[in-house]
Amino acid sequence: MRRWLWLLFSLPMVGNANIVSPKPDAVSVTIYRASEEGNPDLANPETDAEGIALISEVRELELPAGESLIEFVGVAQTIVPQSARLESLPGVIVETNFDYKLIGPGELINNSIGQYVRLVRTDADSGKVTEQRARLVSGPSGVLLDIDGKIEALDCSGAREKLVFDSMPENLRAKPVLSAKVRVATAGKHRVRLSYLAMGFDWSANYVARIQSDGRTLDLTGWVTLANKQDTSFVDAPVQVIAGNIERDESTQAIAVSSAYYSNQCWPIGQWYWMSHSTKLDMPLAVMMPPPPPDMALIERKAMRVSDDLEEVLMIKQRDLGDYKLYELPFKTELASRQVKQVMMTHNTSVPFEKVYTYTENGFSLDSHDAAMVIPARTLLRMQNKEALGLGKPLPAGNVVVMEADGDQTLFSGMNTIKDVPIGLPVDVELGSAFDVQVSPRMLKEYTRAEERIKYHYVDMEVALINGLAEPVQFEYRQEVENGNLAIVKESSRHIMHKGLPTWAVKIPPRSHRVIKYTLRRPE
Amino acid sequence: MIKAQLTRIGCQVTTFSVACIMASSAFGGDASKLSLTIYNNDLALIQEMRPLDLNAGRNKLEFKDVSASIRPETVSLTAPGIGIVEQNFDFDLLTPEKLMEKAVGHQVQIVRINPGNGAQVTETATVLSVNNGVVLKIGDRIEVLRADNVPTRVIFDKVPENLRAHPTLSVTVDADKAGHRDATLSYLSTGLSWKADYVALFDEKAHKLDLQGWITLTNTSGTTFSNATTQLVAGDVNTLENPVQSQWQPNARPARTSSFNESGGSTATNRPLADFYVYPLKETTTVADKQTKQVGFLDVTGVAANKVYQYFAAWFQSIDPPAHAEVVVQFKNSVTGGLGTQLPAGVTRVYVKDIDGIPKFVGENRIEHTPQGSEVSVKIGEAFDITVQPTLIAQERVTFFRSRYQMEYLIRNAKKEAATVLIKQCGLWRDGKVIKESQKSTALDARTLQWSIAVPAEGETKLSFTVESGW
Repeated sequence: MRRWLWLLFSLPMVGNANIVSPKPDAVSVTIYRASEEGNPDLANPETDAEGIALISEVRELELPAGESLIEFVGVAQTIVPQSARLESLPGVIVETNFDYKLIGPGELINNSIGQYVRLVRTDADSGKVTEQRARLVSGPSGVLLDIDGKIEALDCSGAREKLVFDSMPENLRAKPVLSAKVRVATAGKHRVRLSYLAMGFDWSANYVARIQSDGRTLDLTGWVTLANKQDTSFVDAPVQVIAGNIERDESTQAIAVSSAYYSNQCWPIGQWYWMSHSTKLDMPLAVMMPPPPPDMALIERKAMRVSDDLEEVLMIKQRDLGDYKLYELPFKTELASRQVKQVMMTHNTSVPFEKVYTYTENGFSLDSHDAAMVIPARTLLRMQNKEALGLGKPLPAGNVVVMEADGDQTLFSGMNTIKDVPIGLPVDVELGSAFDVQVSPRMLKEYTRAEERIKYHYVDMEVALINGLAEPVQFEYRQEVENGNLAIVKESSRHIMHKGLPTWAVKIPPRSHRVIKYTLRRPE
Repeated sequence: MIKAQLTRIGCQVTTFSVACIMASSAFGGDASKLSLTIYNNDLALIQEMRPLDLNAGRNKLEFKDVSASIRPETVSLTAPGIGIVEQNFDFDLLTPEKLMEKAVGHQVQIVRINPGNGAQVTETATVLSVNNGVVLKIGDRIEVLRADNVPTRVIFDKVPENLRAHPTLSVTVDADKAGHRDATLSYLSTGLSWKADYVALFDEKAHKLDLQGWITLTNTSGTTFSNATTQLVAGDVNTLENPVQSQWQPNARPARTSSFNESGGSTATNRPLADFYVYPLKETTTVADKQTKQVGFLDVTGVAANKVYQYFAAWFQSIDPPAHAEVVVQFKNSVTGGLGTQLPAGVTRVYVKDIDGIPKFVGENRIEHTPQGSEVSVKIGEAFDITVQPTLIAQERVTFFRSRYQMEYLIRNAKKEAATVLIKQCGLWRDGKVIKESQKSTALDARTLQWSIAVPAEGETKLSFTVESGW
C-alpha cells in the first residue's frame, strides 16, 4: 500500500496536491503601518487598512522522499504570492505556485465548453422533471447547448431549466491556494517556516494627554491600535507592530481575484407594445449586490486599567529592529478577522509641558489684511522627549487627544497628530485657535528701490502680539519667506531660525501686548 | 463525432476547400512540443509542435486551443512542403442573440409549453426579424416570440459558420503532397509575464547579505500551458505599445563560471541573446491560467554589503518637522564581492534577523536590470532615530543671475551608537561653488555636493555651508 502511494506521489500531477498542510502549527504576525500620517479612523469598519503584515508560520510536514506537492491551507487570503518564502526545508524547492482560478457559475461553464452536461427541466405546473444529455457549445455570457445535434439556448424559453455538471473542471478551486513542489532526500517529519506578506493590516499609535490641575504637567498614555481587516484569523499568535517608515513597492499587492460571470443573455424577449429602449433604461441595468457588511469591528481594550502601579499593567514591550522600533504585545493573542485591538504602549505621569502661542505670517500676502485686523493665535502644547522631562521614549506617529481636568469634569481641549518623535526631540501638539491671545499684523509701507542693478520690493511690517490672559504667555511669531526669496533686512528685535523660519520668541506679560517691527525684501 | 460534425459545417462554406482538418492538440502532450519564451512586459512567444495529417492541396486547419490572449497577427505556421494561403482569426462569438440574428430568414422549431397541463406543441417557424423582439412566421400567422409569456423553447438546426465559443485561429495551407508532418506553430500572446523577486537577508554586524532570486511568472492569458519548456528574457523588448529603445545594454558579458550555489529549480546558465539575457528554466513546468509561479534562480550567501544613512536635498530649503535619514543597503554585483551575475530587474525585499533569529521584513525596493560589476543600492526605509533638519538661513542675490544660499543641517542621532550620515545637496547650477563650509564636501557631480557627517551616539552635529550658483 505504501509503495503504491509513493508511486502515486511520484507521478507528475497538475493541480492535485498530494500533501495538504491544513493549518499552521504556530504563527506570528508583524504589522507595518501604511504611513507616518497615521489613520485616526482605523477603528471604523468602513475604512481600509493599507498597511502590510509579515505572517510567519511554522508548519510540521510529513514528507515522502522524492518529490511532493504541498498545499498550504489557511494562509491569509490577502497574501502577496511573490513574497512567500519557505525556509528550513532540508531539500529543494522546485517551484511555488499560487492558483486562484476559482469555482463559480461562470468559470464552471467557461471551463466545461465542449463537455457534456445534463439539462434538467422542471414542469412548472406538474413538477415533472425531465433530464437530457447536452453538450455545452458556448458560454458563460449566454449559454448554448447542443442536444442531439440541435441547438438550444439556456434560460431563454421562460421554462424552468438548469444545468447539472457531473464533475468539477480541473484547476478550479474553492479558494486561492498556495502550494510548493519540493524534493527531499529522506522521508520524515520536517518543521518548515513559511512566511509571506499580506495586505489588509494597519496600526497607529494613539495618545491621550491629561492635563493635570496644576496646569503645568500632564499624564501621557499611549496606545497601539492595530487592525486586521481581512478575513483570516490568527490564533494564539505573538503580534508585533513596527514603527518607522519602510519603503514599499506598488507591485507588492494581493491578487485581485476575479471570476467569469454567468449571465443569461438571450435574444430579445419580444413584447407587442412599444417599450424597448426606454423601458430598458428605467429598469435597473443589473442588480448590484452590495458587499456583505463586515462584522462590527470588535474593539478589544486589553490592559485598560491605568493605575499608578504600573507593574500591574500589561504594557507592550519595545525593542529595535534594524532602524525601526518594534513593539511586541505582552501576550499571545487571537488576532481575529475584521478586528481592531488596542494595547497600552506608554504611560508617563507628571510630564512637564509648555503652552506656546504661535502665528505664521504668509509672505507678501498682506493685501487681504484689514488695518485693524486681529487674528487669534494658535495654541501649541510642547513637551520634550527627554527622560529628565518625564518622557524619553521613542514616540511613534499618531493621534494625540488632549483632555483637561476642570473640577470633577474632564474637558476635551483638542486633538492633532504627531509624526515619529525620536528621543531628544520636542513633541509639538497644535491644539487650535486661542481665545485670549491674538496677533495683529499691519503693513505700514510698501516701496521699491534698486541696489547694484537689482531692483527690490520692500515692505515695512508692524505686528502687535496681544495677551488678554491674566498670566504671562510665550509667543512664537514666524514669518514665511517664500523659500528664501524674502529676506528680513531690518528688525526691532533679533529673530532666530526655528522650525526653518525666522521666528521672534516673545514673552508677553499678563493683559499686555508687545510690538515687533521688521522690513521684508524681495528681489523683483 | 463532434469533431466530424463541426468539420462538416466548416466545409460547407469554404469555397476553395479540399479538406478541412482540425489541427490536433499539442497541449498536455509531450513536453518537448511546447515552448514558452516569456518577456518582462506582458508578452510571450509560444512555440508548439503540431502533428498534421494533410491532404494534397488546400487544407483548412483550425487551432482551437491556442492562447486566449493570442496576438493573431503574429502567427506563423511552418512545416516541410506547405505554403500558407491565408490565416484567419475569428472572434465573432456565439451567443443566443447572435444565433437568433443569423437565423433570420431561416426555419427554427418552436416548442410551446402549455402552462396549464405542461403539454408541448412543436411548430416550425421562420424568423422574420430580431429587432427589440423576435418576430416569427408560423404557417400564415405572424407572431412575436413569447409575447404571451407562455414558455417557448426555440430549437436551431445548427451553429452558423464563423460563430464560435472562443476566438479561433484558422490557417489555410497548400500542401505539396498528402501525409503526416510535424508543423511548428508560433505566435505572441499577452497575459504572460515574469519579473524577478529577490530576498536579501542582511546581517548588519557581519556586513554580509544572503541573496535569493526568484522568477515570478504570472499567467492571466486565459489558457493553461502544460509541461512547457520555459525560458525568460530579461531586458526591455520593444513592442508597439511600448515603443522605446532598449535602454539596457549590458556592459559586460556574463561570466560562464558563476560561483554561486544553485537552488534546485534554478537555471544552469543564462545565455546572452542580442542585448537581452535569457534564463531557461531547468525543468519543464505547467503554467496554469490564473497562476503565479515562482522558481528560484539565484541563491548566494555571504555577499559583502553595508548600510548607509543618507539624506538627499533636491533644493535649498527648510524642512519642518525634521526628516528621517534614509536607510540604504548597498552591495556590489561582483565576483570579488561574492556575487557577480547579471540581475534582472525586480523587487528586492530586505529582511534582518530579529532577536529570536526569525527574519523580519525591513523594506523593499525595485532594482533595475543590473549587469555584473554594478553597485546595487536598495533604499529600504527611514531611520526612526536619525533625523535631519535643513534650514535655509539666508538667500541673497549676488548679481541678477547669481544667488548665494546659506544652509544649515542639524543632524540628530538618538541611537546608542555613533552614526555617519551622508548629506547630498543638489541644486548647484552654472558656476556653482562653495563659499564656506563647516567641513569638507566632495562633488558627486556638477550639481550635487556630498558631506559625510559623523554624529555621536545620542548627540547631534551641525553642518553649515554657503554656496553660490548661477541660474
